[in-house]
Amino acid sequence: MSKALKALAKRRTLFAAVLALTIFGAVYGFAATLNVGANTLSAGNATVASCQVTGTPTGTYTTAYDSTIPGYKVASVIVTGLDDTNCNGKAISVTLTGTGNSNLQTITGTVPASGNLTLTPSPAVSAAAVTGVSVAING
Amino acid sequence: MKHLTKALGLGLAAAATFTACAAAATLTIGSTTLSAGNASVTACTSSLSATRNVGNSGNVTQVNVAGIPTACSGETLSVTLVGSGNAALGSGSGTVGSCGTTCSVTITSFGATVSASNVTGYSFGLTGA
Repeated sequence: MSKALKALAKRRTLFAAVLALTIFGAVYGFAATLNVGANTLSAGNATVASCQVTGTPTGTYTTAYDSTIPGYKVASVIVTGLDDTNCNGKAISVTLTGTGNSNLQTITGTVPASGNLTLTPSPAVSAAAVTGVSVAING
Repeated sequence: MKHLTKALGLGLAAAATFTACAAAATLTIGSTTLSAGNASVTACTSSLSATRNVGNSGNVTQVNVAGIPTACSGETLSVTLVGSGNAALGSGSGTVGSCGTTCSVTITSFGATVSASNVTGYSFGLTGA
Protein backbone atom coordinates (compact mmCIF):
# COMPACT_ATOMS: atom_id res chain seq x y z
CA MET A 1 0.00 0.00 0.00
CA SER A 2 2.74 2.41 0.90
CA LYS A 3 4.56 1.63 -2.34
CA ALA A 4 1.36 2.26 -4.32
CA LEU A 5 0.89 5.68 -2.63
CA LYS A 6 4.46 6.65 -3.29
CA ALA A 7 4.12 5.68 -6.95
CA LEU A 8 0.94 7.72 -7.25
CA ALA A 9 2.57 10.72 -5.60
CA LYS A 10 5.52 10.48 -8.00
CA ARG A 11 3.17 10.38 -10.99
CA ARG A 12 1.28 13.46 -9.75
CA THR A 13 4.50 15.33 -9.16
CA LEU A 14 5.64 14.42 -12.65
CA PHE A 15 2.27 15.52 -14.05
CA ALA A 16 2.45 18.86 -12.25
CA ALA A 17 5.95 19.48 -13.50
CA VAL A 18 4.98 18.63 -17.08
CA LEU A 19 1.93 20.91 -16.81
CA ALA A 20 4.06 23.78 -15.53
CA LEU A 21 6.61 23.38 -18.28
CA THR A 22 3.86 23.20 -20.89
CA ILE A 23 2.30 26.50 -19.70
CA PHE A 24 5.71 28.14 -19.41
CA GLY A 25 6.63 27.07 -22.90
CA ALA A 26 3.30 28.17 -24.34
CA VAL A 27 3.47 31.64 -22.78
CA TYR A 28 7.06 32.09 -23.78
CA GLY A 29 6.13 30.96 -27.24
CA PHE A 30 3.47 33.67 -27.44
CA ALA A 31 5.88 36.28 -26.14
CA ALA A 32 8.49 35.41 -28.74
CA THR A 33 6.02 35.71 -31.61
CA LEU A 34 4.23 38.83 -30.38
CA ASN A 35 2.35 40.63 -33.10
CA VAL A 36 1.48 44.23 -32.36
CA GLY A 37 -2.17 44.97 -32.86
CA ALA A 38 -4.52 47.77 -32.02
CA ASN A 39 -5.16 46.54 -28.54
CA THR A 40 -1.60 46.08 -27.45
CA LEU A 41 0.55 48.75 -25.89
CA SER A 42 4.20 48.71 -25.21
CA ALA A 43 5.99 51.67 -23.79
CA GLY A 44 9.43 52.69 -22.77
CA ASN A 45 11.72 55.64 -22.52
CA ALA A 46 15.04 56.46 -24.06
CA THR A 47 17.24 59.50 -23.96
CA VAL A 48 17.92 61.24 -27.27
CA ALA A 49 21.42 62.56 -26.99
CA SER A 50 23.14 65.12 -29.18
CA CYS A 51 26.47 64.33 -30.79
CA GLN A 52 27.22 68.05 -31.03
CA VAL A 53 28.98 68.41 -27.69
CA THR A 54 31.47 71.09 -28.58
CA GLY A 55 31.34 73.89 -31.12
CA THR A 56 28.48 75.60 -32.94
CA PRO A 57 27.66 74.59 -36.51
CA THR A 58 27.70 77.70 -38.65
CA GLY A 59 26.59 78.04 -42.23
CA THR A 60 28.48 80.23 -44.65
CA TYR A 61 27.86 80.59 -48.34
CA THR A 62 29.46 81.19 -51.66
CA THR A 63 27.50 82.65 -54.54
CA ALA A 64 27.72 82.52 -58.28
CA TYR A 65 25.75 84.11 -61.08
CA ASP A 66 23.14 81.88 -62.69
CA SER A 67 21.46 83.01 -65.89
CA THR A 68 18.48 80.74 -65.29
CA ILE A 69 17.42 82.65 -62.18
CA PRO A 70 18.65 85.21 -63.40
CA GLY A 71 20.81 86.45 -60.55
CA TYR A 72 23.11 85.08 -57.92
CA LYS A 73 22.55 81.56 -56.65
CA VAL A 74 23.89 79.81 -53.59
CA ALA A 75 26.89 78.06 -55.11
CA SER A 76 27.77 76.19 -51.93
CA VAL A 77 26.85 75.96 -48.30
CA ILE A 78 29.81 75.50 -45.99
CA VAL A 79 29.00 74.21 -42.53
CA THR A 80 31.84 74.74 -40.10
CA GLY A 81 32.15 74.01 -36.41
CA LEU A 82 30.74 70.49 -36.54
CA ASP A 83 31.80 68.25 -33.66
CA ASP A 84 34.23 66.08 -35.60
CA THR A 85 34.89 63.88 -32.58
CA ASN A 86 31.33 62.84 -31.85
CA CYS A 87 29.45 63.53 -35.08
CA ASN A 88 31.99 62.14 -37.54
CA GLY A 89 30.29 59.85 -40.06
CA LYS A 90 26.76 60.80 -39.09
CA ALA A 91 24.13 61.93 -41.58
CA ILE A 92 23.57 65.66 -41.82
CA SER A 93 20.73 67.55 -43.46
CA VAL A 94 20.96 71.22 -44.30
CA THR A 95 17.80 73.03 -45.34
CA LEU A 96 17.79 76.47 -46.89
CA THR A 97 14.61 78.25 -45.91
CA GLY A 98 12.84 81.20 -47.43
CA THR A 99 9.93 83.48 -46.68
CA GLY A 100 7.48 81.96 -44.23
CA ASN A 101 10.03 79.31 -43.33
CA SER A 102 9.38 77.58 -46.62
CA ASN A 103 11.78 74.82 -47.60
CA LEU A 104 13.81 76.05 -50.56
CA GLN A 105 15.99 72.98 -50.65
CA THR A 106 17.33 70.27 -48.37
CA ILE A 107 20.83 69.01 -49.00
CA THR A 108 22.16 65.91 -47.31
CA GLY A 109 25.64 64.69 -46.58
CA THR A 110 27.86 63.05 -44.02
CA VAL A 111 29.80 64.81 -41.30
CA PRO A 112 33.46 64.54 -42.30
CA ALA A 113 36.40 63.97 -39.99
CA SER A 114 37.48 67.58 -40.51
CA GLY A 115 34.24 68.95 -39.06
CA ASN A 116 33.80 71.26 -42.04
CA LEU A 117 31.33 70.25 -44.73
CA THR A 118 30.70 71.79 -48.15
CA LEU A 119 27.37 71.09 -49.84
CA THR A 120 26.20 72.17 -53.28
CA PRO A 121 22.54 72.97 -53.84
CA SER A 122 21.00 71.47 -56.95
CA PRO A 123 18.95 72.76 -58.68
CA ALA A 124 19.96 76.36 -58.21
CA VAL A 125 18.61 78.31 -55.25
CA SER A 126 18.44 82.08 -55.57
CA ALA A 127 20.64 83.66 -52.93
CA ALA A 128 18.16 86.49 -52.57
CA ALA A 129 15.44 84.05 -51.50
CA VAL A 130 17.35 82.54 -48.57
CA THR A 131 16.28 83.82 -45.17
CA GLY A 132 17.42 81.00 -42.94
CA VAL A 133 19.19 77.70 -42.59
CA SER A 134 18.34 74.62 -40.55
CA VAL A 135 20.78 71.87 -39.73
CA ALA A 136 20.05 68.40 -38.36
CA ILE A 137 22.53 65.66 -37.56
CA ASN A 138 21.15 62.17 -37.19
CA GLY A 139 22.88 58.92 -36.56
CA MET B 1 1.40 14.58 0.04
CA LYS B 2 -1.45 15.08 -2.37
CA HIS B 3 -1.95 18.73 -1.33
CA LEU B 4 1.77 19.34 -1.42
CA THR B 5 1.96 18.01 -4.95
CA LYS B 6 -0.96 20.16 -6.10
CA ALA B 7 0.43 23.27 -4.43
CA LEU B 8 3.84 22.66 -5.93
CA GLY B 9 2.39 22.21 -9.39
CA LEU B 10 0.19 25.30 -9.25
CA GLY B 11 2.95 27.41 -7.81
CA LEU B 12 5.38 26.36 -10.49
CA ALA B 13 2.84 27.00 -13.22
CA ALA B 14 1.98 30.46 -11.86
CA ALA B 15 5.61 31.38 -11.46
CA ALA B 16 6.38 30.33 -14.99
CA THR B 17 3.42 32.28 -16.36
CA PHE B 18 4.23 35.52 -14.54
CA THR B 19 7.90 35.25 -15.38
CA ALA B 20 7.14 34.90 -19.07
CA CYS B 21 4.55 37.69 -19.05
CA ALA B 22 6.90 40.01 -17.22
CA ALA B 23 9.55 39.34 -19.79
CA ALA B 24 7.13 40.14 -22.60
CA ALA B 25 6.05 43.44 -21.02
CA THR B 26 9.58 44.68 -20.46
CA LEU B 27 10.31 46.92 -23.44
CA THR B 28 13.73 48.34 -23.92
CA ILE B 29 14.03 51.32 -26.22
CA GLY B 30 17.24 52.66 -27.62
CA SER B 31 17.89 55.84 -29.57
CA THR B 32 20.47 57.22 -31.91
CA THR B 33 21.74 60.75 -31.47
CA LEU B 34 19.89 63.69 -32.94
CA SER B 35 21.01 67.29 -33.16
CA ALA B 36 19.12 70.09 -34.85
CA GLY B 37 19.05 73.85 -34.99
CA ASN B 38 18.07 76.88 -37.01
CA ALA B 39 19.68 80.18 -37.86
CA SER B 40 18.54 83.26 -39.70
CA VAL B 41 20.27 84.43 -42.83
CA THR B 42 20.08 88.18 -42.89
CA ALA B 43 20.75 90.56 -45.72
CA CYS B 44 22.63 93.82 -45.16
CA THR B 45 20.83 95.48 -48.05
CA SER B 46 18.04 94.81 -50.47
CA SER B 47 18.99 97.24 -53.20
CA LEU B 48 22.18 98.20 -54.99
CA SER B 49 22.94 100.22 -58.09
CA ALA B 50 26.03 100.68 -60.20
CA THR B 51 27.57 102.85 -62.87
CA ARG B 52 30.21 101.86 -65.37
CA ASN B 53 33.18 103.50 -67.04
CA VAL B 54 33.87 102.81 -70.69
CA GLY B 55 37.26 103.08 -72.35
CA ASN B 56 38.09 104.43 -75.80
CA SER B 57 37.77 100.93 -77.21
CA GLY B 58 34.19 100.70 -76.03
CA ASN B 59 34.87 98.16 -73.34
CA VAL B 60 33.86 98.39 -69.70
CA THR B 61 36.87 99.42 -67.64
CA GLN B 62 35.30 99.60 -64.22
CA VAL B 63 32.04 99.29 -62.34
CA ASN B 64 31.30 101.55 -59.42
CA VAL B 65 28.84 100.43 -56.76
CA ALA B 66 27.98 103.24 -54.36
CA GLY B 67 25.47 103.73 -51.59
CA ILE B 68 26.25 100.45 -49.91
CA PRO B 69 24.99 100.44 -46.29
CA THR B 70 27.63 100.31 -43.59
CA ALA B 71 26.01 97.08 -42.38
CA CYS B 72 27.66 95.44 -45.40
CA SER B 73 31.13 96.47 -44.28
CA GLY B 74 33.55 93.57 -44.48
CA GLU B 75 31.44 91.56 -46.89
CA THR B 76 32.43 90.50 -50.38
CA LEU B 77 30.55 92.13 -53.24
CA SER B 78 30.32 90.24 -56.50
CA VAL B 79 29.12 91.96 -59.67
CA THR B 80 28.21 90.26 -62.90
CA LEU B 81 27.78 92.16 -66.14
CA VAL B 82 24.68 90.71 -67.75
CA GLY B 83 23.92 90.65 -71.46
CA SER B 84 21.19 89.44 -73.77
CA GLY B 85 19.28 86.42 -72.50
CA ASN B 86 20.64 87.05 -69.01
CA ALA B 87 24.00 85.71 -70.10
CA ALA B 88 26.99 86.47 -67.87
CA LEU B 89 29.47 88.59 -69.82
CA GLY B 90 31.97 88.98 -67.01
CA SER B 91 32.20 89.02 -63.23
CA GLY B 92 34.34 90.66 -60.62
CA SER B 93 34.38 91.09 -56.88
CA GLY B 94 35.63 93.38 -54.18
CA THR B 95 35.51 93.79 -50.45
CA VAL B 96 33.29 96.36 -48.83
CA GLY B 97 35.65 98.28 -46.60
CA SER B 98 35.11 100.28 -43.48
CA CYS B 99 33.30 103.47 -44.30
CA GLY B 100 31.25 106.33 -42.92
CA THR B 101 27.66 106.89 -43.94
CA THR B 102 27.71 104.60 -46.95
CA CYS B 103 30.31 102.47 -48.66
CA SER B 104 31.41 102.07 -52.24
CA VAL B 105 33.26 99.41 -54.17
CA THR B 106 35.06 99.77 -57.46
CA ILE B 107 35.67 96.70 -59.59
CA THR B 108 38.07 96.83 -62.49
CA SER B 109 38.55 93.21 -63.45
CA PHE B 110 35.80 91.07 -64.92
CA GLY B 111 37.63 87.99 -66.12
CA ALA B 112 36.97 88.91 -69.74
CA THR B 113 36.81 91.91 -72.05
CA VAL B 114 33.25 93.16 -72.02
CA SER B 115 31.91 95.45 -74.66
CA ALA B 116 29.77 98.12 -73.07
CA SER B 117 27.24 97.87 -75.86
CA ASN B 118 26.47 94.30 -74.85
CA VAL B 119 25.73 95.06 -71.21
CA THR B 120 22.04 95.09 -70.44
CA GLY B 121 22.25 94.96 -66.64
CA TYR B 122 24.13 94.17 -63.47
CA SER B 123 23.65 91.42 -60.99
CA PHE B 124 24.94 91.68 -57.43
CA GLY B 125 25.78 89.23 -54.71
CA LEU B 126 26.96 89.99 -51.19
CA THR B 127 28.34 87.32 -48.92
CA GLY B 128 29.27 87.76 -45.32
CA ALA B 129 32.79 87.73 -44.02
